[in-house]
Amino acid sequence: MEILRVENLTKTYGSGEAEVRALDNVSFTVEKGEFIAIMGPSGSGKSTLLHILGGVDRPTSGKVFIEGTDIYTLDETKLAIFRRRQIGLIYQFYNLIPVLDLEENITLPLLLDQRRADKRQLTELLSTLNLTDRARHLPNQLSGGQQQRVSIGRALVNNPALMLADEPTGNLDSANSADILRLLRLSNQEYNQTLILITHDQNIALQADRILFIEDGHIAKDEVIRK
Amino acid sequence: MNVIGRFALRSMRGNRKWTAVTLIGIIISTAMLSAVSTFCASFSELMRSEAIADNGNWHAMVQGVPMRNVPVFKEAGFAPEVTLHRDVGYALLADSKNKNKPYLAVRQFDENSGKNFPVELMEGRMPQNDGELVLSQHLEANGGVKYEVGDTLTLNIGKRTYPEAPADFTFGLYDSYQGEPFYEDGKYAWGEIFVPEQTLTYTVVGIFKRPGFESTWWPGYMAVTRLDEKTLGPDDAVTVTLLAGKLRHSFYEDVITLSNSAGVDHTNISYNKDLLRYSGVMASDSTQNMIYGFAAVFIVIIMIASVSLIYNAFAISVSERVSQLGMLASVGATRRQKRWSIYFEGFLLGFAGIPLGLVAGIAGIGITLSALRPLMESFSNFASEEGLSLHVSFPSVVVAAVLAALTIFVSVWVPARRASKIMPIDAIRQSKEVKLTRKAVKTSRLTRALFGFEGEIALKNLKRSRKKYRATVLSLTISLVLFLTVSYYAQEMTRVSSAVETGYNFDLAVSYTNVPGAEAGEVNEKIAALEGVTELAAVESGESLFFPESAQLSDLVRRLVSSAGREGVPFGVMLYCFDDASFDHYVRSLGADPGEYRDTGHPRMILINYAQDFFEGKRTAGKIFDLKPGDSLRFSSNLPVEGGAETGVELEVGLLTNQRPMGVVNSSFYNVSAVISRKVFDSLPDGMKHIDSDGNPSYQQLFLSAENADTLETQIQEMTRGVSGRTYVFNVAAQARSERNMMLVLGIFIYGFIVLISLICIANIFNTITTNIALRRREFAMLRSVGMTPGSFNRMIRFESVFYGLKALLYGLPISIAVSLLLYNIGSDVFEFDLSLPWASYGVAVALIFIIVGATMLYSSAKIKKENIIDALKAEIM
Repeated sequence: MEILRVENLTKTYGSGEAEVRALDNVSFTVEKGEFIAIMGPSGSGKSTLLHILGGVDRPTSGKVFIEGTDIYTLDETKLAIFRRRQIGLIYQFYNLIPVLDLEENITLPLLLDQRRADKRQLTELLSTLNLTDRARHLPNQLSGGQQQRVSIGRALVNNPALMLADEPTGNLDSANSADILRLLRLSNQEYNQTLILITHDQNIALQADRILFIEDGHIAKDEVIRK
Repeated sequence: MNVIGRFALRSMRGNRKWTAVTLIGIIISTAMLSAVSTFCASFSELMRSEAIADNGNWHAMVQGVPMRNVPVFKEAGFAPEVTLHRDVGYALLADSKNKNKPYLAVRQFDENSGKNFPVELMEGRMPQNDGELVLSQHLEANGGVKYEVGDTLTLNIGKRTYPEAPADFTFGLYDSYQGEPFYEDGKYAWGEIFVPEQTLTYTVVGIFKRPGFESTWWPGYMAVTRLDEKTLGPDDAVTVTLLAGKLRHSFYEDVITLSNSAGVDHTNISYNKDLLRYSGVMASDSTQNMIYGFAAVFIVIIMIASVSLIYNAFAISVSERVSQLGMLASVGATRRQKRWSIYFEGFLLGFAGIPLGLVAGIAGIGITLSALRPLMESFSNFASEEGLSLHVSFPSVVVAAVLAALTIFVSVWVPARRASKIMPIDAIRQSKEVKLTRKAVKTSRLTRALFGFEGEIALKNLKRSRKKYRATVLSLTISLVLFLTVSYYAQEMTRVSSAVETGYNFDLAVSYTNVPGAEAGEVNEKIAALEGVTELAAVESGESLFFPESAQLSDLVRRLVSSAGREGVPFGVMLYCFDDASFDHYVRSLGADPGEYRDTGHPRMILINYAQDFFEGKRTAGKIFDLKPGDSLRFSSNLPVEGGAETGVELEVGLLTNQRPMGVVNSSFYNVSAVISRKVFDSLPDGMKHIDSDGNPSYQQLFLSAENADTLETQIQEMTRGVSGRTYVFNVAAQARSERNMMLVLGIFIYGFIVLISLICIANIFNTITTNIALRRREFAMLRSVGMTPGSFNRMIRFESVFYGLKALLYGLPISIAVSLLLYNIGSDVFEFDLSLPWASYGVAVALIFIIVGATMLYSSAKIKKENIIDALKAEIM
């Protein structure tokens, strides 16, 4: 089942002489449950693509359909609601809310939706993330790896259609990196989550089903590793 | 500039909004300080010019200096202006109307004296030799002796002394007229005589306005002629006046030394004390102390508000730059260098802001003073021409600049110390929230239930940066308290003055003293015919005494009487008798029949049962008596202790009312005001009426309501000129106008002050909130990236504003009420509780708090809301 369709996506910054094309007419589709790694040199447009897919940046032209919805036809409020229900974003620098404790940070998308977390589901999630005994801690009382696990939990809590991760291990040591990757793969395999991940690490990329190589805003290569 | 300086300069440039707002704050506070100091300087200058107008522009005066010793003063140096004058003597006026001023006092001034003794010519010119004379206009106006310019006067000039006096004795100008000589038991006891000494002839060349230095108690009118040094012999005594160039504190000693060397002892020296006082050599007097006291209070308030703004701004600046300062520390910046970078910021801001503020403040107070001058003229009576006008003095500018610099230094001191303590590790950790604990940001479940999740985040956000939160709440609270306290003060002042004003229910009052009733009646008829008179009432009054029984008094008055220890003390009674038409009109307006009050066999009165008065500074109003119609009161015309039979009259209370007819002013609590008919008044014993020895009413009044009181005032003054007794026209409107003008001027100063102080507070709030919001840019972007809608975002911001406002009100309102209560209670026991708070101002303040906070929040979040989420997330982690 097709979960994501990208049509002729273009993103430019500046204008005239100074115009920079971060994305140039990019099109591709993603099936539900796919695990895709995006690779490419710095400044090639990987992050821009991921942000546009996540609905936090706007394309200059082109369309993004998630589960059949053209997300950039939505107004600001509807797009925000769409984001909190359908998209899980994981950043390199965790981006947790310092005043909220771990559990609140994880359930933030639900809280914003005026919903309560299912107790059983939350307990399961916390134990999967290995954060059960830390539920009441504030972000500054956690290590980097723990904070990144919280942000994965936040991305997962709503069972989103699409999980997007921007170099989630870029800031972590190898042990923590392995741990994070294990969790992401777990969510992909156990919960059949669609996962798109940016990485510079060849070993991480090789665990994906498919690798998109981006160069100068184009898809230079679309390599399927396993079906 | 070294690297630290460049660092400071660039971080200021990089944070333009912060720099601009802080600079504006410094400018406003310096402007206010310089406005206050310039006002003081202008006021001192006014006092100085008043002193000059009254007494002349000189510092010391030495009498009895022989001409040959005058050069001692001229060569002394410290007094560049040495002028001479000499009292030639007195000449008896043939027919002075003023019994206390029978003389002409002839004084010679040398050519320089004219400018030091302000003699203002009304016609003619100043004398050019010792045969010419100018006369005081007072001579004609007060003494009734008229001379024209061009007249020749031959005067027998001599001295004032007394019989059997030593040969060299004279009364001086400052000795008032002693009267005719008076002998008792064959010996001289009192009075003075005039001894002619020489005959001189003068030509009158001019008339001058009565000068300020010609005191009312002088025995004569001033006549000024020219002192020609060449005509004086070396032994002729003159008075030397000195005007020092620069006043030194050794001035007194200098003058004494100089006089001694000129052969004159110190008892001959007099000083222009007022001028010396306002020039700063002598200790201040009470007026000056009061002005300086007020200025000190204002300066303290300004400095508190300014320190709270500037301190806050720098505290924010430092906490924002923790990572940069830490980075500097990691490459080896010393504590002193870090501290210096903050001081340097303060210095740059002061360097730019203080001069601008000084100029703005001086310009502001200058414009204010000149705009208010027409208003001030109506209630102030200045002798000097300029009145209260802008005067900038060097010390006043320096004081303002120093105070402003001090304000900045005090504000920067703590942040600079904090900056010096920032360690490299703080930069590496890149987090200011190290100390954040769960407990610190704990909120109750109720918050979420009441305000939703957005409200909860809002409250947690406030709780997290307690220092900033507290700083913002503090500055809001300070603004609130200042605003409300000053409003209360302004209200109280208006209340006191309006209480004075409301006593008058007429526009003009004409009073006749010792004028026959018929004559007054004729004038009254003519006045009634004047255009613009809408209502009038002629009033005659009688007085007597009343001994009240306790049961007849109202509770309020009973308490007042017992607390004042006035038991047994009689009340004064004022019986008002109106012309028949006014009386009928008044009685009918109360719904009664005037005829019932004309029965002299059964005399009745209308008792005005309402009084207002000030008790221990508080306005108290209410009923005087606890009586009912039909009760009778005995009014006596004499006290029982005086002996003889009591005479008086018993009047029945026909009506009790709190409505005063036109012309009856508010009574105080120990008085009875009653209105009776002409017939009843005529039947009163003579002792109760005001009748003079000629049998005329000693005092009659005519009260008028009019549309054009000012024009009528002049017309009536014309009409009453020929009346046989004394008359006086009192214009309530003019009086009220000058009081209103005074209130207006005060109000403009006070509200101007409130507005400026509020501006400082607003700048403070603005600075705190905008940086606070800017710091949370990434966080807001994150919230939005996980799906916070614009609506929720606005809600969160609104909640933050409301929490700020509520907290400020929580502290500010009780403090303001407490301060008002304190002001109310200062120096008096609470007797009649009558505290009223300016509720309108409270409403305005509450609304303003939310508007200011809300507008600032909206302003600062608007940009963030529109910002690209990714840009914000990528922004440097501060």
